[in-house]
Parts: sequence; C-alpha cells; structure tokens
Amino acid sequence: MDERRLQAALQLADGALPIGRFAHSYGLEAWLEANPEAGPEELRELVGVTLACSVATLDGAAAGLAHEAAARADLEELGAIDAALRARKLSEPARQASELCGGRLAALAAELDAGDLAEEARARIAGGDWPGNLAVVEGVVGAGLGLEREATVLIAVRGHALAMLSAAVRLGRLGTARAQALLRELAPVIQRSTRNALGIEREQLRSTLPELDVHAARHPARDARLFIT
Amino acid sequence: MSGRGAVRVGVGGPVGSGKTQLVEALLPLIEAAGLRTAVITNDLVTVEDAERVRRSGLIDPALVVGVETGACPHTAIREDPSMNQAAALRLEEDHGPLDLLLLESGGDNLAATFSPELVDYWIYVIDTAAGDDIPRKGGLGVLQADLLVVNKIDLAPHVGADLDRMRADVARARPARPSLFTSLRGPGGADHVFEELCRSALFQDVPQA
Repeated sequence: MDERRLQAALQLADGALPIGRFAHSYGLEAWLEANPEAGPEELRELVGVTLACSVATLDGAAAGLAHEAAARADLEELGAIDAALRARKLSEPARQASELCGGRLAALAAELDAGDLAEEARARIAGGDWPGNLAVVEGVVGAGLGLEREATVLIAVRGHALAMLSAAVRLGRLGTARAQALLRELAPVIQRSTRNALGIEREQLRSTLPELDVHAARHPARDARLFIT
Repeated sequence: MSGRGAVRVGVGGPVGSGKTQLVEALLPLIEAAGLRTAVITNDLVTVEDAERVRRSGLIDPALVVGVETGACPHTAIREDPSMNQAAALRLEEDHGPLDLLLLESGGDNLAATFSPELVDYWIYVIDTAAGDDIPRKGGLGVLQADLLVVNKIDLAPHVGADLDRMRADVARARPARPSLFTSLRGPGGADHVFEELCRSALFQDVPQA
C-alpha cells in the first residue's frame, strides 16, 4: 500500500473519526448488565463471535459489495445493497446505529475528498432514498479514497470490534491496556472475518447472533442507559 | 430566520448547575416572544432531562429530543457532535422552520466546550453553591462561553460563598465577554439571559409577540 493510501486508510479507521460511533454499544450495554460477571475473556469471546457470525456475513460483506459497486459507479446496486442490509438488521437499535453513523460518514465524505460518488450517496441518504447504512457508506468512501476492497472491509470489521471494546471500557468493564491487548488477540478473527466477508454475495447477507440481537432489542426499554443503542 | 435554519444555542455546565432549569426558564420567554424553538438534551444516563422538559408543559413534547452520549458528554458536544447534529437536522426537518434550537449538554467538568460546528452560541452555567472559587479556576467553559450564567446566587449566604469575590474573578476571567449573576428559580431569573440571547445570538431586541 502506498503512503497516500495508507494515510487514507488510517484516517478512515481512526476511532476519532466524528461519525458518532462513541454513542453506540451495539447491545453490549444491555448484555453486560445481564452478565455481571463477564470480564475480558468473555468480552473477547463475544466480540469474536460478533465479528464471525454477524459483522463478517452482514456489515463487512456489505462494505465489500458496496466497494465493488462503487468502483463501477453502479448506483442501482448500491441502493439494493443498502436496502438488503437494512432488511437484515433485526432490531430498531441495530438499524439506528448503522444508519445514524452511515449518514454522518456520508456527510463527512466531502471533507475526506472521497469523490463524486460519495457525494451522490450523501445526497441520496439525505433525501431519504437510501437508508445509509455505515457499511455501505464505508464501501463507497473506501473506493472513493482509492483503498483496496480488502482494506476497506478490514476497516469496517475492525471498526466494529474497536467500537465494542471502547464501549466496554466506558462501561467500566475493561481497562484500556487490556482493550488494546484484546484487539491484538482478535487480529486473526478480524482477518478471517474479512476474508469470509469478501466471498459473500448480496443474496447471502445474513446475521446469526440472536443473543446480542435480543439484548440490542431490549436496550431502549431499559430505565438507565448510557448509550443510544 | 435565514434559510440556514435555526440559531443553535448550547447550554453547558457542571452537573446540577441549573442547565435544565435555564432551558425551562427560557421556554416561556421564547414562546411569549413569538419564537419557535426545539430542545435537544444530552443526559449522562438515559433521557431523564428530556423527559423532564417534555413533562414541563412548556413545550410540545414532540419538539424535545434526548440524545444518549455513551458516557462521554463532552465528546457529544465537542470531539464528535455527530449524534447531536443528526438530532438537530431531524428536528428541523420534521418541525421546522425553527428560530432557536436549544442544545443542553450533559453535566460535565469545567473544561467542556461546544464545537463551533454544532452551535452558533453557547451559554455556560455554574452554581454559586458549588464553590465560589470556580470562576478563579478559569476552566474553558468559564473563559470561552459566549455568555456565563452564575446561578443560585440566593444560596450564597447559606453556603458561605463570597459573591463579591466571584464577581471580581469573573470580570478578570472574562474581560470582554458578558456574564450574568442570577437565581433562575426566582421570578424573572432568566429575563436578562433571554435579553442577552436575543441581542447576541439572534441579533435583535426581545421580539414583542
């Protein structure tokens, strides 16, 4: 990867990218409350399973498909991927997290110099024509920045792991150094999930993670919550 | 208002300083002036402040939105205001045109500031009873807010707070920026705040409805 692409990749993967990810726990807040004894080992298992059974087969795959469609400027296919992704997100919080962050990344794309297609995506999302899932926007922006498909998917997959670990830190269940260690330990899962995501077609998008889905769905009904989802 | 949309006004300050109280005190004044407003609240935990404002009877509950901040109230108004920007856009799309949008931060420390990409103007509220040395400490909120509101001055004699010292420290910390000492709980406690808001954020006198 040349230096320009590496810088673009680092910027898209930066946890400080202002797209609102910090406000979402993806069901983790409710899950941790239901599992008061859960520590770093359990968190590593949960994040790993989430990547393998949900992110790889749904969001990561959609990011890869979106990158492919964006590379050939296929707006119709991008809209279809976005709709398919929305249809497969089971709970309202899951849709909300994905679409809120996706909309903000699309709005930020011009500042990243992500190209005309990203601007078209932003307009369609703002106009309500597309739901604007984060993975789809990541695919479009990644392609617009000249990143390879594999790198874009890896950023999407790793970004989800990072968001969950960061939420666990802020919920007081994980130290920051341990969170970095877990991220390193999860590297093989992130790589495997990225590879798996790259082989999935639009019709095969799926998520099979009922436990976290249930907790995500329960999240809005909780009396006290720190995160939007 | 211009086509740019509502003037966005941030209300920040430490926990318990009177941010929600200020919003509640401003709402009747805004309505009496014939201005249309909506409120976004950022709670530390859940959306309790949003519920309090909705139940106040001072505003159509549909015009109040609560945004959870993932335990990072300062992040939500400064480092990454995305979720508040999204809520503001949604309110303006669904209920616009609005003249004013009040955005209340979750209670935070004295270093909190608002992103200029989120608000046009911001007010920082501190509590006399929380310590009369707060203005002297010179946190970013005290130093940089467009308007500093020193609330609960009626409590000063009960907690041993030296108001003269606070006034002197505020004058030193903010030589060129306005500050108001008040008790928002009392009648007319927010009148001067609203006048200053109209003058400096809306660039007009208090409108007569």
